[in-house]
Amino acid sequence: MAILAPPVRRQRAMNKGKVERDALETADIRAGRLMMIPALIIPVLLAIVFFFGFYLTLRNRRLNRGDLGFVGLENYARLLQDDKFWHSLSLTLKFTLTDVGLELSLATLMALALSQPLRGIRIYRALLIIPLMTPPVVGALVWKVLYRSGNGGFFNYFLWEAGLPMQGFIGDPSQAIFSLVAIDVWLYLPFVAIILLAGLQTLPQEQIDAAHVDGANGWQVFWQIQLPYMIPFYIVALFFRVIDSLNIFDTIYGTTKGGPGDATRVLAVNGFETAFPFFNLSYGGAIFVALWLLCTVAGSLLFIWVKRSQAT
Amino acid sequence: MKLQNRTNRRRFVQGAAVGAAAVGASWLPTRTDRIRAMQDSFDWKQFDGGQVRLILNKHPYTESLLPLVPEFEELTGISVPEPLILPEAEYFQKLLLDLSTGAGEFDAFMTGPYVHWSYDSAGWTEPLEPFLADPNMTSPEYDEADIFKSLMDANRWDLTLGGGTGQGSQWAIPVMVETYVQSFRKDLYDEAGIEPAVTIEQWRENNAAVTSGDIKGIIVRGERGGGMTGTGFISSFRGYGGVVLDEELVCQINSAEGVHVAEQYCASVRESGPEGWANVTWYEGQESFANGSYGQYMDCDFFNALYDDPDKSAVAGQVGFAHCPHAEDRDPFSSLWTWALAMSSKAQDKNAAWYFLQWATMKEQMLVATVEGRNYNPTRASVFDAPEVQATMAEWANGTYLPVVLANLGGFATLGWSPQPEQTFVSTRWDQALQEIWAGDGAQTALDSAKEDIDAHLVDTGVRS
Amino acid sequence: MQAPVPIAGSGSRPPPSTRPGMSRKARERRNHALLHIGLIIYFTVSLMPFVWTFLTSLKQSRDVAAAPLKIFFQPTLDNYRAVLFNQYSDDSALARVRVDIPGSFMNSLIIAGGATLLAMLLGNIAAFALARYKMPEREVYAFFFLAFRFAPVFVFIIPMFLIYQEIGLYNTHLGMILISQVIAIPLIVWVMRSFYESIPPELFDSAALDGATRMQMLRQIALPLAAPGLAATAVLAFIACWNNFVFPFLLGAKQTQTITLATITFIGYEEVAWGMMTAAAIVTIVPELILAMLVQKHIVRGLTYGAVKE
Repeated sequence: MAILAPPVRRQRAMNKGKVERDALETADIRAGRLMMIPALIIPVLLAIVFFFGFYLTLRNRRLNRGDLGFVGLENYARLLQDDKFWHSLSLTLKFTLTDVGLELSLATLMALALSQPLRGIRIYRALLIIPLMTPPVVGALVWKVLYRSGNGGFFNYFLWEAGLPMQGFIGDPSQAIFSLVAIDVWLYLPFVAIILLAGLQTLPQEQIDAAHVDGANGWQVFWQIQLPYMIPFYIVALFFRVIDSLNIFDTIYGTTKGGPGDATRVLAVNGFETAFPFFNLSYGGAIFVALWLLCTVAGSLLFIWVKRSQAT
Repeated sequence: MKLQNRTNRRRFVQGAAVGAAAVGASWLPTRTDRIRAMQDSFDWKQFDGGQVRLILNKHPYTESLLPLVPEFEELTGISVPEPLILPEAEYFQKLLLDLSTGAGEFDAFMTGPYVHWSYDSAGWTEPLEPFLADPNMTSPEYDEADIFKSLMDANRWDLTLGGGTGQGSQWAIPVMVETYVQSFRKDLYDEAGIEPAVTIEQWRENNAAVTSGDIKGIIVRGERGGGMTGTGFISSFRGYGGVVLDEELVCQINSAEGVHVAEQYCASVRESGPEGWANVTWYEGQESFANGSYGQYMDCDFFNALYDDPDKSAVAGQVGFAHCPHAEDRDPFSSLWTWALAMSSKAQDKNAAWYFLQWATMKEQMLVATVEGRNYNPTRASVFDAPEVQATMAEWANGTYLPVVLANLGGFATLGWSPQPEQTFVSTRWDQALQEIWAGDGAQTALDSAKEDIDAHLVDTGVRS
Repeated sequence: MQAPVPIAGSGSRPPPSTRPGMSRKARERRNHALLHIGLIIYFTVSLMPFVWTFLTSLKQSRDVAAAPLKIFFQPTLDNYRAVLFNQYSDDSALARVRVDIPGSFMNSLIIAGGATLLAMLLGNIAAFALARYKMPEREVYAFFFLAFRFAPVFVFIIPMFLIYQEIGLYNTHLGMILISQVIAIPLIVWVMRSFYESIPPELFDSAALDGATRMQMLRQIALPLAAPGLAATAVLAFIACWNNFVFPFLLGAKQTQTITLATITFIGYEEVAWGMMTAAAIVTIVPELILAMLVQKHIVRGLTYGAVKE
């Protein structure tokens, strides 16, 4: 790593004035932009394709009938009057709220537990990340089987053994959305817990000890010291989890396909079903664009919040 | 002996992948002889050097056909690159992408009525009757008349919305057929002293009568968009005289018969069916019936191949078959489905593609598919009547398989739906309504609302004005 | 590679005992016991899907769908033999058309590996530039990359399919590697940027005085210092590409079939080969788990795009 340069050059560099430094900065900026280009090529191309996809939503393109011409914002106007769209939107928001709320609260408990000096803590922390590695498609397939009816089903087998009534889970309208939330919590609780744990561990132990000395109990320590300290970490978790929950598709399409009835037909499932199996590419695309807008607004706000919370 | 020849077949598959294999089934005349004999009667080498690219559904037919592909390559000089094989849901998605974009990546594919109506009217499928009629293109050994006419007709359509099946162009050639039946546990029915139901009310009573302890009376498909209304339910609905779309293509699922059948059906599933019905896929139904958890699975007939397989099933030897419930003053009804081979209108080499379709649906190949691959039910009379096929089917379901299925194929089974290109929407929306009724909504309300949506969709898509 | 050291920080050490005495110790012991119980319950539930998958992969076909569920059964390695070596114990129809797990494993390796290598090359240069040089618009770049996380794939899949067919990238490994860049590059740029930002700027200043070029600074200072982070980031990018389903499904076919796609191909029309499917799923997941365990130290930074530092 030793970088040797002739002493003369070093001398000259040390003597340079403000003008020179500004010049160097300009050069840095130019070089920096140049260095961005290779990484930007493919994403920019894809962004262009995305806008072409957006353009398709301004036309009336049916998969089985071809392109029926330019319709402007008609597909978007139709969205506003479409009860099914509003149903999907409110389901999506409901899912996101339940899902993220549960994940944040359960992950808080998990992070607090894992920050204790327990024996075998390393094993627990290693086990924690396992669900995160499951391919979503395989995960959905496995969960669909676990939720099966009858005592041949995995969860129902244990209920049956315990003499409890067997349940319908994702196949029962009153339980479906919560059963799907359970899959998502299973998948992402570790993710949130790891973030919060990282936060807890950067909190100086002296602060907590001092509070204990002052006679604070664990609850007070959590509310008054740990929780306020961890807010930036919560925001980061919120950012990722809100975006991904709004976009939820794999686990739902892989299990209930939007049923029972339309009890789990969230925006992405609605958009997909409309665009592909129902052939209305343009209208399905419009639903996705609405979802994209929702994510972009939520994402931008949360992004700014993340940046701000980290700056302070 | 038998095992030996299966091992060879297996090696054949590996051979197919690299395009070179030289092992044949010993119960057939040797390869070279057969190919020579075939060459004598017809010019199979006409399109030497051509290529056929296939996309196939994961299916017993596919599984039994592929090992024979090297034979086709040798016979015709047409090459077949390793086909893309996908399970049903992914298969249809991928195929739709290819056809709808006109990419023309696949020359031949598997489809069936209902599904290819969308393709036919969009111009994605190639009419096959010009090939069939041309003696230069179709071998004299092909024997089209050997394929059940009703099944060929099921894949014909003159593109009239709401009618015209069995007329016009031949869009695909059927390779298997399924009809729908009550497959029930004979032992449980005997114990309860009941006979398989004729009417939907009796069906509901039967299902309740068999439900006790860990056994439930009935399982049927319940997953949205998974063929839920398309198998047993529509068979009973039609057996009560219901029609999905009338001649003017107005949706009639909320007719008096429609409401009646849906009410009884959903109530019975609620009382005597799986807790999580809306999660029940065709395979959950099949596996759960085979493991002995249910008194009946009203679905495909050929699933019996699994039920009566003692290695995989707990109910082997205890299954009986009956027609789906129907009105007392009416004949039984069964909808039907055929997997069928079709050609893309964007096929690169249509002659080569036709040669493949022709070869793949000839007697020899179809016989292997059924005997070796358990591809039931066969669509050729010669295969259906082959002694080993008859022997197998005669044993199934305590001897009730053949009579019920033969009666279905002999006239009770016809297409359950009216031909028009928006089939997926219609069936999925109907699925949703049934799930809602099962969950406690009123049958009339749920079906009225589904009818409204379907009518609006058909108007929006220009199917009717 | 380092030993798997879980996210460690100053806080995980036991607090200095300020009030010595039996009661406190006893209370602590009781609390810890409760925590152990709670954690064991959680992990039992959370690992159940894997337990089911693993058990099923060891079952013979008649035990797979039995009711009541079979917890105890005669285990067999037949499914693994079938999936890994193409040796089938029975002559089911499935045996005749093999689902090529070894071949699709190689495809996954080529695609995920190639995509990670390329993205590491392109992404690290960009990450370094974002960390070091004060372009006024750098947050715009950063947000642009991040925005791919919420772009709905289905809006551009039809045009993408057509373009791929047109330019000959359809169903090629190169095509899959290129499209995977949208998954891998954003992750790498964000995570590596945070690593590079934590390197003291003085190190670069003195190198600059010595006349090092920018690329030299990246290669000789930044990369060696960020090496552990580099490995962790590469692993996460690899896993993200490995797990992706939509791109290889829609833009690829037989020749590029990945292992996640091959796994679901055990759903047949006649029956579902759960035993083989779960065996294939285990084969899919195990390499990911091993890799993930190796880089556990930096996993939080990687998963949060560098927003949280361990």
